[in-house]
Amino acid sequence: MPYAIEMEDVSRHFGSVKAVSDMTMQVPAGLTFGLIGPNGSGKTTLIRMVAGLISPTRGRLRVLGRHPGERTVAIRTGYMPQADALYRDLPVRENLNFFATLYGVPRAARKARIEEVLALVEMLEYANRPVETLSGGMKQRVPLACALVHSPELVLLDEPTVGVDPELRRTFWNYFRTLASQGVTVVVSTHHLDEAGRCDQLALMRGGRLLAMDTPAALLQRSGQPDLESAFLHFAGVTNHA
Amino acid sequence: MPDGSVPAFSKQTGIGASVGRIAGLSRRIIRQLAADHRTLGFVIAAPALIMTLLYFLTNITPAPPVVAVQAAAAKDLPAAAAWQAEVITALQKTGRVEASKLSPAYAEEPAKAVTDGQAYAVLILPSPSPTGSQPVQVVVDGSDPTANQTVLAALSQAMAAGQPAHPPVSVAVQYIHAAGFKLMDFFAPVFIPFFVFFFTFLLTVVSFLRERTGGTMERLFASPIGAAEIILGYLGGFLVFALIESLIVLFFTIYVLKIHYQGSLASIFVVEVFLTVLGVNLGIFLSTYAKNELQAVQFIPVVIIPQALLAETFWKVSDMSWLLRGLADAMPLTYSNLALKDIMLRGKSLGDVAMYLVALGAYTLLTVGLSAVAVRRAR
Repeated sequence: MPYAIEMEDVSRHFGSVKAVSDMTMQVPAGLTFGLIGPNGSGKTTLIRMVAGLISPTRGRLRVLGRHPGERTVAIRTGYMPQADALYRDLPVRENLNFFATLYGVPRAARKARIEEVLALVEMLEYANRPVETLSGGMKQRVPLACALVHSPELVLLDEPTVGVDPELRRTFWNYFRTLASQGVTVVVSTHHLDEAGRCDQLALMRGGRLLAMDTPAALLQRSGQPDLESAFLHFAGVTNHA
Repeated sequence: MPDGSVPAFSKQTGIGASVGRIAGLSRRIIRQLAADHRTLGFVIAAPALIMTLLYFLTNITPAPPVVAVQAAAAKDLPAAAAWQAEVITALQKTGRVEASKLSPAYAEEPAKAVTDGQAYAVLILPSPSPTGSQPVQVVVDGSDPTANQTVLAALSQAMAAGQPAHPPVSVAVQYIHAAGFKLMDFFAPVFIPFFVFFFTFLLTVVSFLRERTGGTMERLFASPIGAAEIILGYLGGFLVFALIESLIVLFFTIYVLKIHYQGSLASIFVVEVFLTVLGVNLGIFLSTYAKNELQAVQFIPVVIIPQALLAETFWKVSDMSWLLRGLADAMPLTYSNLALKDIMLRGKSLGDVAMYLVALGAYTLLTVGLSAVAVRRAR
């Protein structure tokens, strides 16, 4: 499948607020794709539309070749919202087991798969601790494990590295690259421009609009800027004058 | 500090600083409450509502129990009829009961007047005999402890007033529904559904609310699970909980409080299942109208307490004025209480209480519909 996500003139309005306006882009399958933009640029709204949580006000959106929110799409998608979205009174393993059950991971494979994702996020030794007793850094690995427990083809991660220390952030990005190398499409939203360079492709967003979409190297080249931060400002400025 | 200057951190210690921190915290809390208009309105309205209800409820006087008086055997017709009239007059004079002649239809089987609900008690007068050894037979329904006492008190009062023309009589009392129901026995059938309903409702409201506010609801909606599945999943979990809960309450009432009961456990559970489905779905529906746990708890005085007061719990719906009765008739718990009283106090079957179950089922279906709408809307 060439594209994991296809959108054509997609807009989403909340009353008079235009959260996303006329976005047209294609996300190729099997790479890490960064949604880059400041707070309020429409990243979360876009991810929630792709996750099938809200429908576009206008436009055509296809996820894994189908209508988002369809059950078959939901099963093949992993979603990690901005909030922890965990059952804090339950142990880590119970949380994973719940989501594995929710996504229909077969009983026989469940246990092994849970151990696998626990190992991936380096949480094996804390697996039986209730989530609420975990420290902040440890707690943040759990939603990622929950989003991956059913081996999805498409992973939507809404700001997975907010408040994550630099060491763990590096570990996370290594996971994302590993996943992409296995053919998984990893969509990551972030407002950290320093980590955007690790993505295969980037979509720069501002005010609900797509400023530019390309590989990090191509964005630097097109803008003639030395770093992505300057490149972002360059594209934002160009749009403002246009 | 030889120069006597005050160290900068002195303001951090001492009573003044402590009072300052406390006042600051108090102020913050007051501000939070003031910003929550609903909580503010609740603090004022809920006590008013409950006190209004109590005002009306305490004015209720139970209808006097009906006592039918059966004359002695036909061979003593004139004397027997006169005695019957005298007894009725004496009983009426007590002002405690509604006394009348027993309908001739029940002449052969006076106790049937009680089981048919025509009278709460039947007095069977013996043929006057020179020895006066034959007792007055009293057949009492027995399932209402207050009415039992009223009947017996009226009887002894009437006897004490005396009919000198007749030999003194002893009284033999026979209860149809197990002798000596205590007031507690009378309340047991309403405790069980109340606890089940109360806890399933409250727990559902709070857990659904947490699901919503904790972001896990959104996580559920992104997953393949559908609205109906969410409701059923909740139902399944709470049904197990409710059955355990009703088992505990039931065993406690039967074996610890030694409450008397008749009827089958299976019938009681059927009613519990209705209540659980009702409680869970009402909880899901109403949880969407609460922003936080504090607001969730506010449903207790609105949903739970009026039902606890009105739904045939402490006072009989049939004794209420039209207004209270209308309110009670609109409450689902009324029907489960009526059904369980019939099952547990009078040993009736599910078939006998089918009408109550139909009403309860209608409410259950209504809340299922409401919660389905609520879950879809939460999306």
